[in-house]
Amino acid sequence: MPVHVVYFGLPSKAASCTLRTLLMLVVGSFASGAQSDTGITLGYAIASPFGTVWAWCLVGMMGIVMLLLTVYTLRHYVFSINRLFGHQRHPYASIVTADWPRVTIFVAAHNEEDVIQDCLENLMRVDYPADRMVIMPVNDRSSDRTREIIDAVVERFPGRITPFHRVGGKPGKAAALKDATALIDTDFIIVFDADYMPSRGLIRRLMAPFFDAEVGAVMGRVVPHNVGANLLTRLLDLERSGGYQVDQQARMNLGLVPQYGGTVGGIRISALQSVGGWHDDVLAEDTDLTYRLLLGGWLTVYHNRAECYEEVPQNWAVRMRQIKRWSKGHNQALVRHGGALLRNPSLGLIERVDGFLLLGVYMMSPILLFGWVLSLLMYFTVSMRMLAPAFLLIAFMAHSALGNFAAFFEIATAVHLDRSRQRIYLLAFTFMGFIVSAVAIAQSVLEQLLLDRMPGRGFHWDKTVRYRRPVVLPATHLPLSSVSEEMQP
Amino acid sequence: MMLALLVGLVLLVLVLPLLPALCEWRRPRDVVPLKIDETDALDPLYLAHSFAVLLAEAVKVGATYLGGSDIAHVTRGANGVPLLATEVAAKRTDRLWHIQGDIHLPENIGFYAEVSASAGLHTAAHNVYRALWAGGLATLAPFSTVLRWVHGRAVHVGAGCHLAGRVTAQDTLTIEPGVFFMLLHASRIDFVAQHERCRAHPPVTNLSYVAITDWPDGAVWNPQVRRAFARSALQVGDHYAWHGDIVCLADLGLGRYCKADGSLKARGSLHVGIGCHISGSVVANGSVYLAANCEVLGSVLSETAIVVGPGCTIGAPGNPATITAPYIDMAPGATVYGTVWAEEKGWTTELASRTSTVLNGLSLGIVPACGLVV
Repeated sequence: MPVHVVYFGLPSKAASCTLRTLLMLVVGSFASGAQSDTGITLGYAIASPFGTVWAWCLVGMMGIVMLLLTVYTLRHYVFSINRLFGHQRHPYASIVTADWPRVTIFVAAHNEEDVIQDCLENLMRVDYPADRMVIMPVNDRSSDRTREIIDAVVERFPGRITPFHRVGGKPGKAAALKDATALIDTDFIIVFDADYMPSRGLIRRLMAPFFDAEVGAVMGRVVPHNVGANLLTRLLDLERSGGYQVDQQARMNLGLVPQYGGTVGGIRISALQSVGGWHDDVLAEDTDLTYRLLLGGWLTVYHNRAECYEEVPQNWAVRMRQIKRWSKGHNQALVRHGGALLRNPSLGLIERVDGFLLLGVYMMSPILLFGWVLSLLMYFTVSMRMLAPAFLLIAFMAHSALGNFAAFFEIATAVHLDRSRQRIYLLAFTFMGFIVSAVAIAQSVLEQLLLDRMPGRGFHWDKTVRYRRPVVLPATHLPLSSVSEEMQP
Repeated sequence: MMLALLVGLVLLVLVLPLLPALCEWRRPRDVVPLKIDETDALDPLYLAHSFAVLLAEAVKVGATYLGGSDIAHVTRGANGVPLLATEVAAKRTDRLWHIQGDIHLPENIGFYAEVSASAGLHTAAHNVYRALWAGGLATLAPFSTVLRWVHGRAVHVGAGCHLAGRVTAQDTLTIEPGVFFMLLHASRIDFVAQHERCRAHPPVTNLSYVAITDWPDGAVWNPQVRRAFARSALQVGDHYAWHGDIVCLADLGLGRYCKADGSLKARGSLHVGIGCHISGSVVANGSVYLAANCEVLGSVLSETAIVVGPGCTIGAPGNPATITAPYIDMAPGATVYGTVWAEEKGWTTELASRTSTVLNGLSLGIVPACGLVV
């Protein structure tokens, strides 16, 4: 097989060109070479049995992959170091006394007979003024006992809960919330999924940022409750800590783009309406809304002290389905809002870059896998006589020492900030979780790019399995009369 | 043999980093969910109420010891606090004092455990107290220092006191000038002026307002959300009125006697002119300056510092609010209904005595003329 070898000369220029030369050395060191006037042969040879175009393509793509990996690595470190040593912003945490505004609390439920009662009962115990709070379980076409359980709780707490039993219409959480939002008369909403267990002060925590007229949405922190179930739940606990305690809070500290996560979060209705309301054609209504608010001049803030327990998946198959769903929704938002975000002149450059990186976060798994494939292809089909090998060696060592561990450092930082002690020992196992996530996300991206576009194959909403034991209601708590299909008084 | 050794070594190298994880997995030691405990942070009265409950339980069962301190009981009508000779000599007592009725605490004695009085409680000047609970009026004599908290039906704080913790009252809390504080909470908090010349100017009545039709350059009015949005610094003139919020990505200033039926937000500093009436909240990433006689019905929040001028009113009866910032400077004559929470330090001084206050390297540019903050 013929081997094509291409040589490039890079004549050394005057001192003013030093920076450019260095840049070319670092970036182009895979593929080009030069003879410096200092007598150092920078070496340059690139060869492949499939031709130079092939070799160049591989090298170029690998360069892009490395650049992206480096950017995300730096991002992890910046966030972690900010949380450890930077100025911490909790501007709304000290608002304890106020004339609290009226708010509607949605509990999104689709076949949630196992968990809905806990959520509603917890909401009955919150310290927000009862006359300022409308609790509305949004029972979206459930076919199990969800409706029965909601009605029983309504009966136990007369006048406190206004259920919305949705029996038709477009499927999906966004569609259900859209219908429910049309029924309310408050200026704010807070959304929970049915498996969440709001703590006593949570509603006040989530409402405090709305005294800031710029805030369009608020996001609280999610804390896994079923940590002790198995290894997966413990790993997810670590992952959640990293994601909220470090990632979200650092974005808040740095004035970047905290993300509204669709649950344990509040929304200002006027902001929602000004950006077009709920979009029921998206897979991740939370990410979609975060970016529409950002582009519409509204702030999304993260409140690290607004903590709420949730139930995390207890088996890997469920976890994979969950992350595939998130990935598809996130990537859809990337396509919808990525361009507009980068072009938006009213946002600062850092905000735009961070917003775009946040949007692209689920693309990194397939890109990483693609990088692995590329490296194999390069190993077997491209021969390079390395120039400036020291640069490559340093880059390799730096990535081995820092890049591979950036995410681990973030989790370790979060665990340290949470003052946990023993759970940090599990850190090495999170690698397993990353591999599973990477595979699931890559699979979802492929599906989204290829299979989901085929006729007759739409997105299938995959509900997350719940693990809590079903509620056994006493006979006296069962509904006594039939209920209408519409909103209950 | 060598091969086996080599394989063994390789396996060891691979497994060694995983050993802690394997141990923790097989023998879990940390599997409880992270604790979510927010009661203390969300309730200014938490410490005082917790103490009252614990003490009541201890007294009920006849306990002589609570939270690391011996309990000393003083019956109603007793003449002062029966200190031990060693305590008098040491000028401190580490006993927890449970007092029936009114009490005047003696001079030259530091109380390093809690003091509880079922009726009025009066401290001595220049003394140190850990925590004070009063069923009636708690009076802190000038230059008292409180380390943790004070609670009473009503509380009066004398001039020059240092309040390192929380000071809460069920009814009214009055603060004299020269007081350093962290957290104040009551139905009504009055920052009283010692000198008549430093009281706020009387509020102007019969004000007339001009409705804003054309917003200044750079501000865009969105009628759908009733919000003016400015990307650059915005200054609103005197006597303007509007219905809606203002959000400014730079500095925001309001002239005298404006009336905003909405909230204000500035990413820079925020100046509110004399006599303005704001029905919503005032929030800024930079400093907030409220000139004399402002009325703000909502909360006031800054990530830098807040200066409240004389005669300002924050909140309203039955409509409480919070003032919170790292640094808070309250002028005598201001009134707050709710909470004042200085995350780093708060104080109140006579305006006449503060020609130039420096907060954390930030000059607030206060002029000595009472009622004027520029």
